[in-house]
Amino acid sequence: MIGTDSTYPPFESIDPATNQIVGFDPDLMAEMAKLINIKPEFKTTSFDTIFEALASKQFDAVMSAVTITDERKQKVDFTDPYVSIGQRVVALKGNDKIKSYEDLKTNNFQVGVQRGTTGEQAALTTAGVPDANVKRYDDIASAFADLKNNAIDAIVADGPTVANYTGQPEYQDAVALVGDAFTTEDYGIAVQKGDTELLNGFNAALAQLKQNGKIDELKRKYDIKE
Amino acid sequence: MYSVIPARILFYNEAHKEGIQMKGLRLALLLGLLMAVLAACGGSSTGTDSTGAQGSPGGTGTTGASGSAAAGSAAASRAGTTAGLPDLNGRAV
Repeated sequence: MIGTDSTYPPFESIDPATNQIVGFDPDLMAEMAKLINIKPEFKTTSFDTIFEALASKQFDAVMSAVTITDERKQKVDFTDPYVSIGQRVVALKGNDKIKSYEDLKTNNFQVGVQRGTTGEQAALTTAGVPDANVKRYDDIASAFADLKNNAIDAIVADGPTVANYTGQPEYQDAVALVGDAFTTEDYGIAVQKGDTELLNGFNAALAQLKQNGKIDELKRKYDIKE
Repeated sequence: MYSVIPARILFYNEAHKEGIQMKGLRLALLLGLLMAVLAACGGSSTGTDSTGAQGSPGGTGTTGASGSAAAGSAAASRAGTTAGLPDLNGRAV
């Protein structure tokens, strides 16, 4: 079983027509499964507790647009990187006071993040937003809903995902990307500590899919820009 | 001189040689078939390697060497279709 937070397009989301988890990560895992002979099944779970769930063997792996960090490496093992991204800022259209991530710590701005993500860390550290001004959400969709309703001033999250939300019909007239990515992060697939069989299999499959251009093909399909 | 060899000796020699060749061919075909079956049973499970390729030396095998080629190619394929990919045997994840 593979744990994922399926509110994170274009990497994973629920297709309302089929109620299936779709996106870059499930597509990539399907390609990997063909190469190393595994039968993957994705299950939606909360991102906030996803690594604890993996460590306690509720999942065999976590594939959920996960940034490889030293802190997470204490609990789980990671594959080689398969996508590089950066944190970006989204604000309401017409908000002239937020022109880059450096403005987020000013004017008592309320900044929305998803709990337990590197976006939360980036808002607190790199952007320097006071903890009291960081509003934490269980999923990024709720943060976008609050931004559109003017309940917060900005969102910090992974670049491809905020670009995806910003382009959705529901949000494209209300919100806009601000500035460029201000961090550099690598996504990896997490496995239980010591599961070398799965880790080596994933790494071998990823290497093959990088080499044959399949990962680049999927990035183009899902408009993921690094 | 060739002209002094009795015809029946010539006939016996040719027939004997032909018999040996026929036996050798049958043996080689049997060996080739056996190796192809072994290769098919022990080979592809990743779906990306070619069982047909493993079996083909058996089909053309006329010597014992063709059998070991078939077995060798099966082992190489299990090790991962020219790319060293592991086979997790249908593990559910």
